[in-house]
Amino acid sequence: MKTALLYLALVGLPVLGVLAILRAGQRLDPPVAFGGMWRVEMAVADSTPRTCRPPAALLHVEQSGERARVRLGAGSAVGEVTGGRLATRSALAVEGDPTLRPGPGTCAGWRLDARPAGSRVPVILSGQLTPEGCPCAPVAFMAQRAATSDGEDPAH
Amino acid sequence: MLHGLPLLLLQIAVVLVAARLLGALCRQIHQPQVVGEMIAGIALGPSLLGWLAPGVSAVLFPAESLPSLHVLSQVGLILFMFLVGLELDPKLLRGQGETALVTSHTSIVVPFLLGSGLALYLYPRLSDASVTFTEFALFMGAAMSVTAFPVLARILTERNLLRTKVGAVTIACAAVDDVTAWCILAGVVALVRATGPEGVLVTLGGTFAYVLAMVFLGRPLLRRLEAYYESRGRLTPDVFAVVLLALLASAFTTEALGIHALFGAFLLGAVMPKEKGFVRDVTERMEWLTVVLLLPLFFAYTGLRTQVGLIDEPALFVDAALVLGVAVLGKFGGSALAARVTGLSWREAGALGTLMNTRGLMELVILTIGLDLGVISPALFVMMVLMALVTTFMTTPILEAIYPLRLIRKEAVGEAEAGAFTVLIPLSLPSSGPALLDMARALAPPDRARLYALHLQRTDDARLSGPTAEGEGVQTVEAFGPLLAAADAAGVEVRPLAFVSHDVGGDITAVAHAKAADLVLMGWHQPVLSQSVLGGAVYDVMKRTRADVAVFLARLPGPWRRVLVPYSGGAHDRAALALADRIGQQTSAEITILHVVKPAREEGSPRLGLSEENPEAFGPNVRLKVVERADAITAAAEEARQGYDLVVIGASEAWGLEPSLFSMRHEQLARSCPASLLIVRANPAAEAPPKQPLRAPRRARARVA
Repeated sequence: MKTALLYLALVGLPVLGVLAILRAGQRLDPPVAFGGMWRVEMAVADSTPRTCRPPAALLHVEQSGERARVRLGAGSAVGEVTGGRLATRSALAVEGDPTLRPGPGTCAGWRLDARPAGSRVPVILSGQLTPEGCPCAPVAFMAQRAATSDGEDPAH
Repeated sequence: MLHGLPLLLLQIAVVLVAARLLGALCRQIHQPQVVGEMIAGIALGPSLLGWLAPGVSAVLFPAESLPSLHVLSQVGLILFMFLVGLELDPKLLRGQGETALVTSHTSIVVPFLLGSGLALYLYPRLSDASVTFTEFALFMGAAMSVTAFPVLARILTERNLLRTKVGAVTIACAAVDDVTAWCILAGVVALVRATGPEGVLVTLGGTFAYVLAMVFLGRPLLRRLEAYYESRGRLTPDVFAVVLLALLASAFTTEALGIHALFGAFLLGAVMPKEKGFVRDVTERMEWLTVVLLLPLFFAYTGLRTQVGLIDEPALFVDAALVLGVAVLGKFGGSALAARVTGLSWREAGALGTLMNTRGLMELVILTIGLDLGVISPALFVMMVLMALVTTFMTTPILEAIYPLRLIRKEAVGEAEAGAFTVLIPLSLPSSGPALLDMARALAPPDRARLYALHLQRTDDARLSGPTAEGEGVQTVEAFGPLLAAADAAGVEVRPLAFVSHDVGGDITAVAHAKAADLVLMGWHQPVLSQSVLGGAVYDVMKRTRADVAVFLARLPGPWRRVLVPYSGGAHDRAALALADRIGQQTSAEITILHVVKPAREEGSPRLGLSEENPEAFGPNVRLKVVERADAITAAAEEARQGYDLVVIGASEAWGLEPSLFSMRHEQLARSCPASLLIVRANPAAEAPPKQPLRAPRRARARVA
C-alpha cells in the first residue's frame, strides 16, 4: 500500500504534470521557420551594372529560434527573426567570395530582409537585399525552399 | 588537396589519435575514456580546430567529405546500440524489488516533467514553427531522461560497486531508463516523420507489431542460433555473419517503419538470449572495432556539428546554464529522492542520483537524432551537448565525494563474506589448467565459486597475416581443452575468456578488475628473461592488480591432506592464511601455521607469542607451531620437507619471495620445497592495515601445538 501511494505520488503526479504542460504549450507562438536551404531568384534588370548585382546563389539559413546564421554564397551574417521576418544584423560578410569582393564601385556587402509568403513554415520567401558601401539600388528577390538530405553540411 | 579515400583515411587517423590521446588524459584524472573521446570530437570541430586553425580544418574536414564520415559513424552507432541492447539483461531487474521499480520510473518521469516544463520557456526562444510544441516537449523530456547505461556500467565496475545494493539498483534503473527513453524517442520520431495522424498510427502500430514479432518469433530463432553455437563450442564466422545479417535486417526494418535504424539495432540486442557464452563471444568480436574505431568517428562527426560559438550572448549562457541545471535537478534530484523514500540511505541515494545523472554517449546519440530531424535547433544542440559532457564529467568526482572508494571497499569486504568467491585463472600452458582448477575448487564451494579462465594470445605470437577467426578459435579451444575437460568431469562451471593481447600483465589486471575477481590464480610460468617464479607477467600482475594474486606450483596432486602456512604477520601472510583457511574448510585438510621467531636472547626480537595471545582463535583442524630460529626461510624450508602436500605462503620479503622483475637471489623456499606451493600476494588495499595478532579467519576452537 505504501509503495502504491509512493508510486502514485512520485510517478503519477509528474505524468499528470507532463500532460498539463503539453496542453499549455499548444498556446505558444514560436518564430517563423526560416531554417534551411533556399534557391534565390533576384529581380534584377538587365541594365543593372554587374557590380550592383548580388550573387545568384543558394541562401542557407541556420536558425535557432529567434537567431539565425545566414549565408549567401561565401558571405555570412547573424540574423534575427522578429515580427515574422528575418533580417541580418549587418551586411553579409564578403571575404573569400570573388564575386562579392569590394573593389572600385563594388558593393561591400548586402543586408538581407526576408518575409514568408503565407505559412509560418513557408516554402516561398520574398524580400530584398540592400547594398552597403556603394550607390547601388536595393534588389528584390524571391526564394524557394530547396530539398535537403540527411547529414548535409553539418559544419561548414 | 586530398579528397576521396585518402582524405577519409587521414580523417579516421586524426580522429583515432585525438580520441586515444584525450581518452588517456581523462583516464589519468579518473574520468571515463568516453569523456576524452567526446572532448576530442568537439575539439576537432569548428569550436576549437575550426576556430584556431580554420585553414587546417577546411583541408582536413571539407564539407564535401563529411557524408562518408557520417555514414561510417552511423554504422558505428548501429553496432554500438546493438551492444547496448546486448548488455541489457532481464536478470538485472530481478530481486531489486520496489526500490528499483519506484526509483527507475521516478528517475524517468521527473526529468521528463522538468524537461518538458523547460520546453515551455525554450520553445519560443530556440525552436521554430516547423516543430510542434508536442514534438519539442516530448523530445526534451526524453533527452533529459536518458542515462548512459554503458558508461554507468563501466563506472560501477571500475569502482567495484556492482555487488553493492546501490550498484544493483542503479544498473537496474539505468536499464529501465534506457529502454523507456528509446521507446519515447521512437514515438517522437514517428510523430515528426509521419505525414499525418494516420501515418503516426501506422508507424507506431508497425513498430509495436515488430517488437512483438522480435520477442515471440525472433527470440526463439536466436535461441536456435545459440544452440547451434553451443553445439560447435565456439563462435564460427558463419554464425557471426548470421548475427550481423539479423542486425542489419532489424535496423533496416525500423528505419523503413519510420522510426530510426538505431532502434532496430537496440531491439535485436535486447531480445538476444543472455544465458550462455554466445552473447559474450559476439560482444567480444564486435566491441573493439566499434568502441575504438567507429564510435570516435561518431564523436568527431557530432563535434563537427557542435558550434560552441553559437552561444555568444549572455542570454544564451543563461539558457545553457538553465538546461544544465534542469538536467541535473531532474535526474539527480528525482532519482535520489525516490531512492531515499524507498529505503536507501542518504549516502546511497546520493550515489544513485549521481550515477543516474551520467548522460554520456547515449545523450549524444539522442541529440544527433533530434538535430537530424530538426526537432532541436543548432544552438540548443550545443547546449545539450555541453550538458551531456558536464553531467558525465561530474559523475566521478561527485561520486568520490559522496561514496568514497575506501567506504566501498569496506562494504565490499563485508558483502564478499556472504557472496561469491571469484577466481580468475590466466592460462598460459594448457597442461597447467587441471591443477589450477583443482586449486580453485579447493577455495570455495561450487555454489559460491565463480571461475573464469583467461587465455591471452600475445600479439607477437600472432601470424603476420593475422589469425583468422577460425584459426584463433582452434587455438583458444586447445588452450582451454584440458581445463574445460576437467571442469566438465567435476561438474564445475568455468567461463572461458580469450583474446589477443599486447600487454599480458595489463590485460590480466583489467579482466580481474572487470570481473571483480577476489583472486587471480596463476600457474608456474618460467619467464624467458628470468629464472624467477615471480618475475615476468606474474610480477606485472602482482604489482598492478587490485585483487589478491596467487601463483601455484603443482608438485603433488590434490586433494591435499597436510597444509603448511609459514606466517610472519604481514599482509601477504594474512592473505595466505585466509586462502589456507578456505582450503581447510573445503577439503578438511590439516593446516599447520608455522611461526618462526628469533631466539629470545636477541634484543628486540618480535616474539609474537601467538599461543599466548589468542590460542582459541583457530579451527579444529588448525595447529599452530612456533619455532625459534634466526633464519626464518631455512626454518620454513625444513618444515616444508616434513610430509606436507601443500605450502601456502605470502609473497613477502620475510620468506624470500618478494616479486621482482629479474630476481635470481630469492625463491630459495620455492625451489627447495618438495610439496605443492601456493604463493600469495595480497591486493594493495590490504597492505595498508596495521599488523594484527594472528587470528584464524573464521573458526572457533583451537588445538595449539
